[in-house]
Amino acid sequence: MFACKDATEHMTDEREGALSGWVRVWYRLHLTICPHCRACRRQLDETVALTREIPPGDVPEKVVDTALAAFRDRRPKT
Amino acid sequence: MSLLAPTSREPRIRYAGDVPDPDDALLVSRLRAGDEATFRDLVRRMHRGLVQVARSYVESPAAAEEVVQETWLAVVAQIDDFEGRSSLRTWIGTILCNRARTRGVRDKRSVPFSSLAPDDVDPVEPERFDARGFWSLPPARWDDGPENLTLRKEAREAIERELGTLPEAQRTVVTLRDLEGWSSEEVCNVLALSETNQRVLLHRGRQRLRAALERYHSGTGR
Repeated sequence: MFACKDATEHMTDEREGALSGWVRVWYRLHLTICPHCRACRRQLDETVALTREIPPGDVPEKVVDTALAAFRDRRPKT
Repeated sequence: MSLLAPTSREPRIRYAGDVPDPDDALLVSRLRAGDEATFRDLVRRMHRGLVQVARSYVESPAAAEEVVQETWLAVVAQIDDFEGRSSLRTWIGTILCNRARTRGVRDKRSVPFSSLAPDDVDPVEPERFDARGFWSLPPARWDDGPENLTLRKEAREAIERELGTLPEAQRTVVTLRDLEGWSSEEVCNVLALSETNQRVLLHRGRQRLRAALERYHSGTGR
């Protein structure tokens, strides 16, 4: 029998398309009948969506300036 | 060793699917033509992910910034050698990793990807399940999530705080996959991880972030 704990351990596998065989069958069956695991999966989906919205921080000007200086001095291969 | 000494240019492990992005060809041709705006944009876009990867190997944030800096100089010097056998991101990430590993060895820092910490088990708290593995304290429904912009920002900040507390390997994989949008193949190739280990790290990291968001929703978030 596929328990809730087993289902929670496979939620990323499902998102990654990495479930196969009987695990996939049991997982899907469990999610169909278990509202709590469906809620957990929705929480995980929302978490990933919010994580993707985290804005990048500033890049130190020194990094950009040094890299750009090297880029300007670059001699392309002929 | 010279700063611009050639490094291993292709990933050690290659997974199917790590192919050049359709936009890579255009991007590389612009870089080779000396398009500064394209290069500046690339540096800005990749900085956060590269610093996190470097941070996994080296002693300090300052050392990680130095490794990223060296990597950009190497990219500039070697861009004509890019053959397109992997994505540009994998190629740059591999240059960075080789340099960061070398620096890490010099700093005598252990590499977090060599093994998964055995005590770092699945992060859904075991006490939330009964003896048979069914929920005893099930997760609450969040309906459609916070729609209010301020609440959404707070929720993001709760996730960001938790991200900063994740074990290094989890933080690196979550950063590359979910913040930077790298593919699993790119992450596996650059970090020399198996697909399975990459998924385990991603899952553990995401579940810990989910738990932090759950605490935030229930009003007990720190």
